[in-house]
Amino acid sequence: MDLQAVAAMRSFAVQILQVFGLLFAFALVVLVLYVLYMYLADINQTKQAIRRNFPVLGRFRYKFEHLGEFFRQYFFALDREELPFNRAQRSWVYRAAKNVDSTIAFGSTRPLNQPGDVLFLNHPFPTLEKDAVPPMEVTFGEGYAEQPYTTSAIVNISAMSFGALSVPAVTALSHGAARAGIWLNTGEGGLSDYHLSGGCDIVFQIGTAKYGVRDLDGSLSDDKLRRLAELRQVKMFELKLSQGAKPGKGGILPGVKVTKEIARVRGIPVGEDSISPNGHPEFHSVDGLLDMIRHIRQVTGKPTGFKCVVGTSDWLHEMCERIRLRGLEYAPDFITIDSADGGTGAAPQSLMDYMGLPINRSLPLVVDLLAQYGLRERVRIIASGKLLTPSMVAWALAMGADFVNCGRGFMFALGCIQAMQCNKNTCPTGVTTHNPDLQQGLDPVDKAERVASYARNLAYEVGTIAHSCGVREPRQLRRHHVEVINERGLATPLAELVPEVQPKSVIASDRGVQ
Amino acid sequence: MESADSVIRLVGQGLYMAVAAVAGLALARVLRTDNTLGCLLAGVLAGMLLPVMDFDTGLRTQNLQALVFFVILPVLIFEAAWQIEPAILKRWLGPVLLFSTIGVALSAILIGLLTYYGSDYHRGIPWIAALLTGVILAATDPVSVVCKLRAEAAGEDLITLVEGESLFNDAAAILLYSLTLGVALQLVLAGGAGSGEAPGVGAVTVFFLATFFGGVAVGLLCGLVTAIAVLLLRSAGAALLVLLLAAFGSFYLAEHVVHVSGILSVITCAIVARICLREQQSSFLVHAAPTWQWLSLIFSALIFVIMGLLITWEMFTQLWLAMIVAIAAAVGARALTIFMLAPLARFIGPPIPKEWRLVMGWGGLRGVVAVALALSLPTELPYWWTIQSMVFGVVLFSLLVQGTTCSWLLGKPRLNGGNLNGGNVSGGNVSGGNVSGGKGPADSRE
Repeated sequence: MDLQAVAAMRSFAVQILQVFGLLFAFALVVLVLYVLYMYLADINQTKQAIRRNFPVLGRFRYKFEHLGEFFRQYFFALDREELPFNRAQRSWVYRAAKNVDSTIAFGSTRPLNQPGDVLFLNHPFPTLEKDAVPPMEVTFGEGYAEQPYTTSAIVNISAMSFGALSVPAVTALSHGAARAGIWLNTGEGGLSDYHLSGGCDIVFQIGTAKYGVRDLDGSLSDDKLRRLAELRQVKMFELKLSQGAKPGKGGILPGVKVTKEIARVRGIPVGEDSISPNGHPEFHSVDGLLDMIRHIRQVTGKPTGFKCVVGTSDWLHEMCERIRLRGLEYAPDFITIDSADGGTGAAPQSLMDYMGLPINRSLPLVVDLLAQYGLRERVRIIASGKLLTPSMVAWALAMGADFVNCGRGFMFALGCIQAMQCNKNTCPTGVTTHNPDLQQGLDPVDKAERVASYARNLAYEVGTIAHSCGVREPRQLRRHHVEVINERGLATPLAELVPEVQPKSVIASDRGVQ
Repeated sequence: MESADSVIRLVGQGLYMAVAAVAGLALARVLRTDNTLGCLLAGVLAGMLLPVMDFDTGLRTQNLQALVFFVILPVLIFEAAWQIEPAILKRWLGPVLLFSTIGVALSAILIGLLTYYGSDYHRGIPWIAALLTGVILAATDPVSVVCKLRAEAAGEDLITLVEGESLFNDAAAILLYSLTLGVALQLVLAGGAGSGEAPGVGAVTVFFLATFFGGVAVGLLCGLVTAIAVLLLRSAGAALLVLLLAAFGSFYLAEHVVHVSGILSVITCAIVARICLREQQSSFLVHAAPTWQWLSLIFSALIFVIMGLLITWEMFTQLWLAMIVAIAAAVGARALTIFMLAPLARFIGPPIPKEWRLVMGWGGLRGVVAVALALSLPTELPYWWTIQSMVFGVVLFSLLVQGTTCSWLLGKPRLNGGNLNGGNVSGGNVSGGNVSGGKGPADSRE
């Protein structure tokens, strides 16, 4: 009986072994044939020299080149090494978003001798907690727009269009912004229900293609503009001249990302590349720009400004002169200055890498220019471009910005891992893809909380920097609170490099009257 | 001397069939119909001529199965598999596999049930015969739909979906056919012996799995060897020879030597070879597409000529009710299968738009593979003639009614996957159908 069972088991085992042996032999034969095929295919093709000269082995180069990206990121890249955002910066954002402890120990890993690095000057008697005050409220368009907009939020969500971002991402941003009391810029892709769903303040961006407010032949429709302005949530309008990723080129949404819903919101065909013109066809001069801004403000009754990357600055002089000449009602209520080193958008590499001035040059330039013409109180300045850590925000405030817009910081809060595939519809975290399988990883409820936490923690730590500098709130930071390391590795006062400018109305009138 | 005679006789028989096929194509040109219909008519005419000329075609119901399986099907299936764009097939593989596994089984069972109960009062078909009918009619062949889709410049996705579905359907149906036929023959033999015991389910399953995976494995090896041979020979002419050899060889090797599914072997071989040789598309394989075009043209023409030879007036006079039942069952089961399974497609692949479902449902014609399978029914089965008549009836209905009306169906919905602009680019002339007679079903798959 026992023997029989053993024999049965034995024969069963032998059978299994035979099957596996057969499978192994088959796999071996297939492998040999496959290698032979690869060899022949490589020497017969003419497209890749490496494969032709080193058949089969040459293929590893392409595999490794692809894998190297991941190996570098996970195993070899140092904390302060990666671009555009290194791991130290990203970790800070992730921790802030998750609302976990963000303190570090055993000293700074930041080399404190690199030219251009920023140091804040601490005060011997820092602001005590009981003396600290919340950030000052700032009003846009007071006295000029029918419905001025007042807010105390410092860091807000920068322009990222619906289309570039996915439905759950926009939903999460909207809810998170509402909870943190900050505004959400729609980007140029029009206003969708998802922007409104959370109930946050909205800044509506008018792109060069006028998505969301365009009439049939693609120009600005006053009716649609008026209807948008009737929404209470929409607080301001921003006319986009250029964006950091591609100064001189319009928005690009690859066809693969133009789904039915996005096409409806934008008013364009499904599946075709959505390419905005590189400028507004309505105006070609500073006067035209000022007219357009005034027109939008009159139609909507809400503060209106523009966004641009600063390159040449002659036109800024001209603009200030024209404003002085024509009257303050022609002035933009705010200017958003975008750094030229690229943002969330898809852009040609040459424009992203080389075109326009970075924020550390353009921000003081515009601030000083406005101060020079006495427009500093009339025109608010919003700075944007990689300002996602408290130190960078504090730097921008000290330099003279009233607000900071941040896009990618909030993307990190949404779960972005800097896979850099925003333009391919293959975003692994669901932030910039319309593939439902990938989107399902992004839970809008959970991520809304992270967005809000990130905004709060960021504002809190900017406050901490301000208090260490001995001022009561962040907007009191000035250039004399900052030193910058020069090319010899020594810290130099920022106020010496870019001295504060006093209004010089004389000059303005001199130059204005010709 | 006898062997010389047999060779000469064989040449004569081949020539007679080829002439009939060419005459069929000419008829199609003159009558402005599908090539298939022309060939069918030519076959009927050739059949009428036979007694007058006192000529023997050499076709016997006994050798038809071998002819169809070892000569005609490999070419048709290899060609169909070769034409499919691997990258797009990969995207739609989930839905295609869904339709060709569950879909084919469901449709075979539905047709079987419907014919079984539909014909019960009329002629009493045993259940295995009904199932055999169902399996034969589960093979769809949307050539004329695909042809019109191409003329309409519909999206490559829809064409690939329809073609891929048809190809894998054919494979599954042929596999099931072999299996069901085996069971049927065993039942007949066992019935003759007096002990009617069906083979066990377990044994059938093991046999099925071995046949299935064995076929795929042989196909994989054949495909790799084909690719290697083409790359070694480095000439466009030799590449064609190798591919032709691969079509026949992979089938023969799998079916006759290893005794696994030849059809799966052919399909796998074609797909693997196509993927492996994608970089040689413009060098060694420049002539591959036209070669497969004419090969599949001549062989599908042959199939319909044979059908024309075998079709008789008695089929219609005696079995018209069974035919009508089979037609209703075939159309109904196809529609039911598509509308039941299409909504499930989005769980394993991209969703299938509603307009596409209509095209797939009504466009699921029965054509050359169904005829081939019906032709290869062995005469040992007492009901072979009934099944053949029913299948012929359904195929005729497909050709005459479905094939001609589907152009109307294609004209209406937007088929480019919701593209707002591309809907009606190609203008209105959809009802023209096959205006140029050469635009037959077989030569239009490119």
